[in-house]
Amino acid sequence: MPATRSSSSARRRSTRALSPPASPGAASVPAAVLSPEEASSGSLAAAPAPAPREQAHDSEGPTAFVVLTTYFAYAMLVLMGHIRDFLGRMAGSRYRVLNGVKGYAPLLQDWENFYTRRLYHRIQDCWNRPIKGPPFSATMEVIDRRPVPRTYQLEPTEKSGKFLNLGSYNYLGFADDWVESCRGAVMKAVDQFSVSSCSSAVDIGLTSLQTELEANVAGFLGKEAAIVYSMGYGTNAASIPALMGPGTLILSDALNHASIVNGARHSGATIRVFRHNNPAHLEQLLREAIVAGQPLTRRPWRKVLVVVEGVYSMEGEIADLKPLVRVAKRYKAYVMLDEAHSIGALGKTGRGACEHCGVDTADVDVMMGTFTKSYGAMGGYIAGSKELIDYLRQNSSGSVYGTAMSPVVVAQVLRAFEIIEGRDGTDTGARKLQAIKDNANYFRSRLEDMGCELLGQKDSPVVPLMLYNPGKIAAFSRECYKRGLAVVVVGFPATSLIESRTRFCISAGHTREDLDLALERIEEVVDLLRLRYRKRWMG
Amino acid sequence: MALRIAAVLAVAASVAVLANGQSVPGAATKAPAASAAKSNNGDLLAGLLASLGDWVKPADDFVQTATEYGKLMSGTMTFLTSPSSVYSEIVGMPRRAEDAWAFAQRKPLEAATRAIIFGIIIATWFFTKPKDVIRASGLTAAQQEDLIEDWEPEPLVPRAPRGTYVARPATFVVREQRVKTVLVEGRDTELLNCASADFLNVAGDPETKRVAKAALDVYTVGSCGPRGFYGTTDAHLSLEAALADVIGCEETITYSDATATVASAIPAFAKRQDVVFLDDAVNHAVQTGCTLSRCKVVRFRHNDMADLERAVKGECGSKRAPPSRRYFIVVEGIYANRGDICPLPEILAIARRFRVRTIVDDSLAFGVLGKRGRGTAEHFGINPLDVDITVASMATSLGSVGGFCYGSDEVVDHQRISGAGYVFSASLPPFLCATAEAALRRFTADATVCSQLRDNARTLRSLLELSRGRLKVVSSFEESPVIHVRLSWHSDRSVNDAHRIEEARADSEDPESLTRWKYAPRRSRPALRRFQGVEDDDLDRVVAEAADRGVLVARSRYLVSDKLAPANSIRIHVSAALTNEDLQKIAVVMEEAVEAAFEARDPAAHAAPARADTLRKRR
Repeated sequence: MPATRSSSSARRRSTRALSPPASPGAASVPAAVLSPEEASSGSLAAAPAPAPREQAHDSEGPTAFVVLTTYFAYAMLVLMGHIRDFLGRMAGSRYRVLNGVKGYAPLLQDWENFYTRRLYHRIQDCWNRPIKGPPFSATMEVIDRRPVPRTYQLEPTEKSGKFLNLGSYNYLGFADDWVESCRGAVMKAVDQFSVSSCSSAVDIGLTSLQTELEANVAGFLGKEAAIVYSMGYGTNAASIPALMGPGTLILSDALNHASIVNGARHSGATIRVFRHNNPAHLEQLLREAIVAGQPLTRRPWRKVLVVVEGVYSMEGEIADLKPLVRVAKRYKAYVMLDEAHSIGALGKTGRGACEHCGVDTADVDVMMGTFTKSYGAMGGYIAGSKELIDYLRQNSSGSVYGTAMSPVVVAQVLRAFEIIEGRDGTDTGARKLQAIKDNANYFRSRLEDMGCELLGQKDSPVVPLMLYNPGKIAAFSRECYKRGLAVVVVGFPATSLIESRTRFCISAGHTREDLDLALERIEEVVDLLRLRYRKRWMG
Repeated sequence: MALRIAAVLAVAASVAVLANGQSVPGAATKAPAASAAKSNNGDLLAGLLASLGDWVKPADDFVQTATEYGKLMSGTMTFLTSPSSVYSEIVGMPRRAEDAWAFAQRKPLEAATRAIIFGIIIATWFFTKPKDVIRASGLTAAQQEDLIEDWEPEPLVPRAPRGTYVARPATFVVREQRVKTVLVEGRDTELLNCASADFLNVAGDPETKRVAKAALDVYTVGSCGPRGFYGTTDAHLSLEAALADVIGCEETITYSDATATVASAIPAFAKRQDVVFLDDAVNHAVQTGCTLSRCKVVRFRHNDMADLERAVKGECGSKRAPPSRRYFIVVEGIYANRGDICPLPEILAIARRFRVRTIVDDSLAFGVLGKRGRGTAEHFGINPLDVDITVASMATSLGSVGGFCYGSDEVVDHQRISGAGYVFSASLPPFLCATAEAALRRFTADATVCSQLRDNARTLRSLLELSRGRLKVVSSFEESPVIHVRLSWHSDRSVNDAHRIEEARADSEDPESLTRWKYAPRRSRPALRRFQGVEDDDLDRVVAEAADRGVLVARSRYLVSDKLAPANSIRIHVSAALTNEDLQKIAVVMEEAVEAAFEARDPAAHAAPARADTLRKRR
């Protein structure tokens, strides 16, 4: 299923439900950095959500009934899949992999492809829905699709309808008021520059607009310098390999995004994963790493980088930054913070997770973020010391080989910054920032009142609602679709097997009426699918 | 006691796997359980072991027990029904049931032995718990604290070794872009743009700008989501359909970044057990794709078909290779780092003979070569779909951002689920899709612009080759829109030649003559790098002198970590809109700029790395 997270890292419930062994490092030596309650809550067995307690939604996890029915459903799906495969092999199939090409090893191997073939394709209409026009918060136009006969594909039809958008990352609603807020600046850039420089930033891709944006990003975050890249995914994938290499250690949160995972893999550094949002486990791993050194050679690690995200996109959880950064600093590890979902959406002035958690940006060595979400554009940035940015400019593949950011997109981001910082002379930015917070909290509290099982915390613009059973993934999406709601559902492998969920992304562009309407319809679906897991053991 | 039960279970599981492989010859239907489909091999076993290990501990309450039970069952089921990805990983047995069966029939004794070894491995795994390194070291708390206090990490930003070359920042900041010229900060005059890859001059074209503005008014700038989650607009669908229409395939897939396209397409198909035959001159993005796929990479000499055949024969002829192993030849259409073309017909012939698939990065040839501008395949008169997987950039002839990939519908559809850069990234802003589509329609409607570009390339190359001076055109394909130019007083080596010297030593007929240099390569790397710094100074000077004379060219730059980077050069991108006068001007300016750089060079610096030269001569 379309995933925004790698399969291996998505094991949220398992980290919580399994009893982690009491950490030996923390046990033998008093935890120097964490206060007693912090240390105990993180490392003790079966502790509840390790995030800030006052905010955390204290999830109890699924009941035994839910777990058993979910596994049963998957078992049935697998069984039916095998029967279909068997028949397909006998009678010929629309899947080429089942028919085989003589002499070649199958391009898609059976066991890799089975899941796609027999589980994903049954409910693929829940993803990749094409839209017409911009992702408006209230009136997004979604195009209907129909299956193409004798294939497994869907094709768009002429029909389309207006939907309430609960799926796009349009956090500050720049897609909604684009004509008033950003159009002028963007169109000017089209005239002055071209749509693309078709060149890397070290050749002639660097425009005067881009240098302005880089200075702006640095100033916004209180860092010395910044560099921007054309693609958010590429920002992580290109800069981590430039900084880390063999003999270095990357400590990565269990739920980090695939771009971090791929960047870390490509760097050649050793990767160790600490439990999601768990400073105590991070401390334990750091102690072990420094005391024991590298495996086999026993030499000390050259350097250690701790990588966390500001808001985890599939969980809506805000990083417990303060203790995480304190632990990292205590052990002289460097900190990299990925603010893809938090920059422009969290904090009083939109400065992200650092502002929200009260952490000085000076303590975060590498600040990373993207312009896709809050800024209504595309691309990503790295902000840090001048030395770091100068180095990345010359030594990261995104800067040397990648296409530079389109000047038009740069203009959009610059304009969005102007509005967020209030430099345009209006209070639009401040209103947007207040609206996203109010909307998200209102939506979350109403869903909580319904008795649904939610993840994440207050103030987070991402509100995931647990579905568990695989059948409910498609049912939820289709029922909402019938009722004019465009929602995002995710299942394995983006989450662990039983933790299928739907994820609402709230926008500043939603009005209270939009949300009330949405909640009313969601409540119908919740009743239909029995999703009140917090109230009833059978949902 | 509980631990033993777990171990017995595991051994039983391993035996069952073998039984599964041996007793059911047609057992391809026994494909994996759901969770095996996507999790990677190591995780599978780790997951099973973890669930077993935790199962035997007393669980806290009923819910947890049930969860654990479910996990245990699903884990065991997965393990039993999957045709042993773990198993084959550990004991080198074939991965699929049919292969295992064939193997067991051929060598029953060996199969049985391996099964037993596997059982023992599992058992030992269980009885030796992972050591607690800190406790095992016997260090006291105070000693640990001392160690932690003592540890000083290297700085976050790697420092180049003392005296070595550090690359300088970009020289030009663009303040205005026009069709074939640009204005840069600090200079008043327009510069002919021979640095960007916008070969057909579409990015700055008024028509493109009109399309962009119209699309912006419809779609705004960002799509605010990945393709899977409402990031697909009709502009994306329309572009993909238009590309498919031009190429003549059913479907294409677009990515939002050019380098991410090939770096995602290769790992989507090549996995750990597979083999990639890689040309020795491919660009960095292709190398990244191969690294991320973790497959075995066999390099062959650049464009050397005999060497490719040798490599393919060596790998595909092996009897030990399981039938499910996939092989790919990975080449570029026009090599970005060299400017020459791959001999595609010969490569395809070899590929067909040995049942190897081909992956071609056609970024620089799409929109340039072929009667209708469809790239390298069309240039050779081959159906583009004869190449299994083709990727190309949209930041070249299409004057946009992003990349696309085409092949069979199987190739495309699989990437929609497994292409990391597609699934995990926001989609391309719709207005860039619209401009790319407009550019595509323009050159397919009237392909004279492509032939004009090829004529220009041919003309400029011959003009440059005619110039009598210290300017050396790197020999390459005559219609290539990329021309690399080197300076006659520079030698043909790059930082990476340090590695190559090492390889040459191994190949040398007279290894004795090189023994003196046994440890030289590693030591000579800083020297070479310093030397490269001197060369780069010259190249920068050429670029600056050319800009003073009204032509903007770029110096090729490579990452230090780019193992296949050639020696540095000046890179001239030709475009279709250049007139004959422009081309003549470029040739004259380049000649003058090189002469000026020669006058201004630092002769003493060039004398320094003579040792490496000697080494080359000795060879």
